[in-house]
Amino acid sequence: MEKSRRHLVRRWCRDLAMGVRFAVGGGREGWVRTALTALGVGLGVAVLLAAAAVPHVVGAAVARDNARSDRLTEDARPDAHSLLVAETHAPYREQPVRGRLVQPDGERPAVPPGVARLPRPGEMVASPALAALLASPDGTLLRDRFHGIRVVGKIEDEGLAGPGELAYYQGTDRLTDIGAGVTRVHAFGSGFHAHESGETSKQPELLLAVLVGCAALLSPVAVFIAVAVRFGAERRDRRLAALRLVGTDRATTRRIAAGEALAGSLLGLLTGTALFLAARYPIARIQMLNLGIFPSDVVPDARLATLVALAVPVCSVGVALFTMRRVTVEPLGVTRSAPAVRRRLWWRLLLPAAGTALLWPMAFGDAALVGNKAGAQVVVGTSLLLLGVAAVLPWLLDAVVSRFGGGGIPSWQLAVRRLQLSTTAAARSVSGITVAVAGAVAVQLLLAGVQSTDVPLPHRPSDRNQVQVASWHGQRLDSPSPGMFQRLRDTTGVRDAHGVLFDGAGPVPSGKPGLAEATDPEPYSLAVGDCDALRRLARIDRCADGDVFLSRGSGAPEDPTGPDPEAPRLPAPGTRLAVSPGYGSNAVRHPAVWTLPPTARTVSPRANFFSLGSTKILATPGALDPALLRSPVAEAEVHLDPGRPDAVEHVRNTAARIDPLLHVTAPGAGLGSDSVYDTVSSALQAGAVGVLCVIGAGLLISVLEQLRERRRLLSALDAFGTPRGTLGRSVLWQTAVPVVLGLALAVGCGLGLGLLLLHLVGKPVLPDWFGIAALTGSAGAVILAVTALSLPLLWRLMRPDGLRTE
Amino acid sequence: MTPAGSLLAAEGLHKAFGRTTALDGVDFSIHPGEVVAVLGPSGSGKSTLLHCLAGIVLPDSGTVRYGDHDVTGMNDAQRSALRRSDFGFVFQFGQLVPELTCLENVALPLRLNGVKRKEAQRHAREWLERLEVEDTAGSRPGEVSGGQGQRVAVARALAARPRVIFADEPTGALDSLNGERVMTLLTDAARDTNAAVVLVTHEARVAAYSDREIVVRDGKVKDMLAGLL
Repeated sequence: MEKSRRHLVRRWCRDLAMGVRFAVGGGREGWVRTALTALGVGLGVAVLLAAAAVPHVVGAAVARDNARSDRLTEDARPDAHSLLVAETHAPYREQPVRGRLVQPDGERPAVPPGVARLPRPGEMVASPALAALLASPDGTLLRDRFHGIRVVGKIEDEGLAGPGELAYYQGTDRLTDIGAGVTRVHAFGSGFHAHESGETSKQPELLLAVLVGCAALLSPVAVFIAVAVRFGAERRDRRLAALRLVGTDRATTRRIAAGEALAGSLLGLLTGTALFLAARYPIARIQMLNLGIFPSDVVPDARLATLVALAVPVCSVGVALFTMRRVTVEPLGVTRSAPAVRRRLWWRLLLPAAGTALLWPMAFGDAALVGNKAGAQVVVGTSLLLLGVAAVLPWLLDAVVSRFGGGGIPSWQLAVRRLQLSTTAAARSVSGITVAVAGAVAVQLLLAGVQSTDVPLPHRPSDRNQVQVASWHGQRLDSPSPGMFQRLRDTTGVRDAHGVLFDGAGPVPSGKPGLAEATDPEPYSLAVGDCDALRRLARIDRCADGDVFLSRGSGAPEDPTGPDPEAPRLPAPGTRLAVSPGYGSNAVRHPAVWTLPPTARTVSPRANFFSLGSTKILATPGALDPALLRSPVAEAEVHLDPGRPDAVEHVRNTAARIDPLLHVTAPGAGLGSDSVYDTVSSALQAGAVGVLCVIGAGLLISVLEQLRERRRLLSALDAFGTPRGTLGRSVLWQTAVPVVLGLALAVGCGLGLGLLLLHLVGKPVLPDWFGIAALTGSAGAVILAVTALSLPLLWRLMRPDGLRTE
Repeated sequence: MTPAGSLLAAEGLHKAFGRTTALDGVDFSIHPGEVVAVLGPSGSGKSTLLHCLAGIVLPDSGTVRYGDHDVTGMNDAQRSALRRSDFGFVFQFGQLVPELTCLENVALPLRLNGVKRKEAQRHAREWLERLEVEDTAGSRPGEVSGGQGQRVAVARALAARPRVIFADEPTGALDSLNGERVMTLLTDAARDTNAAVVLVTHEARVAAYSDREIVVRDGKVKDMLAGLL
C-alpha cells in the first residue's frame, strides 16, 4: 500500500517535472512563450497585490487621521493639557487644505501628532506638500492668505493622511472660548472619530459602489490571468496531442499540462511580486484622493496576499486542464481537422444567471443590503455576472461571425474567415476588456443614479460666479460687519457683495417666576441689511432705510406646497419682540426689546444664497440697529468677475484676513456628499484606466503571440505579393469585430447590472451616456493602440525566414 | 548580360546570412515554358536562390532581371506587385490560408490583383477542376488531405496566369503517388500556359519532370546540361 502510494507520488512528481521542463525548455521559442506567460500573469498578480494592499493603505490613513482627531470632546473644561482648536475652511484652487488654529489653554497643551511643538501666534507648521506649494510660483495667492505668518516647522508623516495633503497648524491668541467653531481638546485622537460615526454604514449606495467597483476592477484581472496562462496554447495542445500519440494516457497528459501551467504561474507570481515592489514607489507618488499614498503604507494584507499566492497557481492549472478537453490524439496536424463545433449557450448562461439569482432578492425582494453577508452576496453576484460576460462572449462571437458572408475586400475576407474558423483566440483577447467595461459601466450608472439624488439645496443658486462668506454663530468679528462687507467688495475680482446680519427673535420673556416660557425662544429669523441685500431674500418692490418686511416660506421654485405648515406664523405688526434672546445656557435674562413697526409689509420670499429659516423678519438698519444683535451671523453674497478665474482665491484671502474662521463657500463645494462620490468615482475611474492598461498590455502580448504562430503563413502571403496594408487591415478587422461585439455586450450587461444595482438601492436611472461613450472609447483606443503596436512585428514576420523548412 | 530569349535571369548573385554564405556568385536563367529543377543537399542555398529570383529577398550583390525589369533595383512595393501579377508560388506544405476555403484560397491572388469576387471565384473554380480537386472548393485546407491541399496550392499558383512559377519542394510532404500526380499537373499546366517553372527539390524523381537541372552546392551553381555538353 505504502509502496504504491510512493509510486503514485513519484509518478506525479515526474509528470509535473516534465511539464515544467516543457515550459522552460524548448529553446528560445519555449522561453519566449513562458516569459510572455510569466509577464502576463505577473501583471495580473501585481494588480491583485496592489488591491490586497488597499485595506492597509486606507487603514493606515484612517488611523493617522483618527490619531490627530480634534473633533467634539466630551469634557469641555480647561485643564493643564487643554488646547483651543478652530478649524478653517479654505481650500486652495479646489484642493482641500486642512487648517487648524491652535491656542494653548493649559500649561502643557496637547500637541498634535507629527508636530514637534505648537506654533506661537504669527507662526505655523505646515505639511511638506503645503510648504512646497507656498514656496512655489503656484502658491503665490496662497502665500497672501498667510501674510505675516512664518512657517517654523513641518508636520511629519504621522500627522498626515497622505504625503500630498495640504495641512497646517497656525498659532493664534484670538480664540476666546469654545463655540463659534472653536473646540477644546485635551489630547489629540481621543475624541469623536469620523469612521466610528457610522457615516459609511449609513450610505449603502456608497458601500455598494465601492464593492461593485472592486468586483468590476478585479474580475477582468482574473480573466486576464486566465488568458495569460493560455499564451502559446496552440503549440502546447499540439505537443500534448503528440504525447498522447506516443501512448501517454489521459491522466499523465493532464499532469504534464498542469506542470507546464504551474511553472508559468509560479514564474508569474515571482514576476508579479517584483513588478509590485518596483511599482510601489512610483504608484505612491501619484496623487490619489488629493492626498497621495505613503509607500510604506502599500503593504498587501497577509491573508489576501496568501490567497493570491494560492489562487493564481490553482486557477492557472484549473484553466489549463479545463481548456484541454478538446485535445485529441492526432498525428500533428497531418490528418484532416473536423469543422469547428458550435459553442453551446446553456452552460455559459449559468454564471450570469447565478449572479442575477444572488442580486435579485436584494433588488426586488425583502433582503436588505446590511452586514457582511449581504456585502459578500453583492460582490459574488456582481463578479458572477461580470464573469458571465466573458463566458457568453465566445458564443456571441460565433453566432455573429458565422452569419457574415465571404465577400468584401480581401482584408475583410481574411479577417472574417479567420474568425469563422475559430473565435477562441479573439474572444480570449477581448474578454478582459469586455468584463472591465461592463463593470465600469455598471459602477458609473450606479454612481450617476446615486449622485442625482444629492442635488444642491434649492435655496442655493448654482451660479459659479457667486460665493458665500459667512461667520459662525456667536463668532466675534474683529471687523465690524459693514467694514467686512466693504472689504469684500474691494477685493480683486469681486463685482459686488451684499451682506446681511442674521440673528433670532422671539416673544419677550415674562421674567416672572412660575410663568411658562415659550417652547422655542427664537422662532423667527431676523435679517438686517440694506435694501439691496434684502431684495436677495424676498421680492421687494419699494424699499427705503427704516422699512421692515415679513416673509414666510423658502422661496424655492420646487416648493409647491408653500410655506411649511409647521413653521411659526408671522408676528403681527406692533408685536414686541426680544432680539437675540438666546436659549438654554446661552439665554439672556434681559434681551433687547424691539417692536415690529406697524408699517411692516408682507412680501414673498425668493430663492437665495443666504442660509435662513423659512419665517423671516427683514429689517433695514434704520428700522433695527445692528448693534442690538447680540451674536449675529454675518453673511455676504459675493459676485465674482467671471473673467478672473482666481477671484475666489482673492475672496478667501480677504476673508482670512478679516477672520481665519470665516467660511467661504463656493458653488459645488460642500453640497451634500458629492465630494465623497466624486472621490469614489475618480478612484474607480483611475482603477478602470489602470486595469484597461494592464489588459491592453496583455492583449498586446496575446496578439504578438498569435502573429508568431502564423509566421510561416504570413511569409507565404508576402511571397505571393500580398500588400502589407491588406494584412495590416486584416489584423485590424480581426481585432475590431470582436471588440465591437464585446463592447456592445459589455455596455448591455453593464447597463443591466447597473439597473439591478440601482433598484437595489432604490435610486433613479440616469445613464451618463457621455461617460459610457468615453469608457467604451477608451477601450476602443486600447485596441487600436494594440493593433498599431503589433504592426511592426507583423511587418517583420512578413519576411522569407518563415518560409524556410530546413 | 541576359542570355538571349530568357524570361528571368540572374547574374553574379551573392547572399550571406551573417558569416554563412548562401549564394556565391550564382548565374541563372530560364526561358518561357521551361521547367528548371534546382537540386542540392539541405542548406546548399537552393531556397535562397529561389527567394532572390522571386524578389522575396534582395541579394547582397548581383542582379536579377525579369524581362526588361531589373528586379534588384525595384523597391519592396514594386517587387510585391510583380510577384502578385507575374509570379506564382508553391511551397512544401502548401501554405494555404487555413481560414479561407480552398476556392477562396485559389481566388486570393486574383482578388489581390483587383479582380472582382465572382469573376475571381469562377476562374478559381476552373483551376480547381483542372487540378482535379473541384470537390474541395467549399472545404477549408485543414479539412482536405495533404495531396489535395498541395493541388489546391498549385491551382492557386497558376490562377493568376503567372509567367514564372516558383515551386519550393512542392512534393516534400506527399507520398510518391500524390507527389507524381501533383508534378504532372503542375508541369502540364505550366507548359500549357507557357509559364516557366523554377523547381527547388532534392528528389531526383521530382527533378525528372524538368527540362533542365542545375545543382547548388556551397552557394555555387553547376548546370548539369552544360556539364554534359
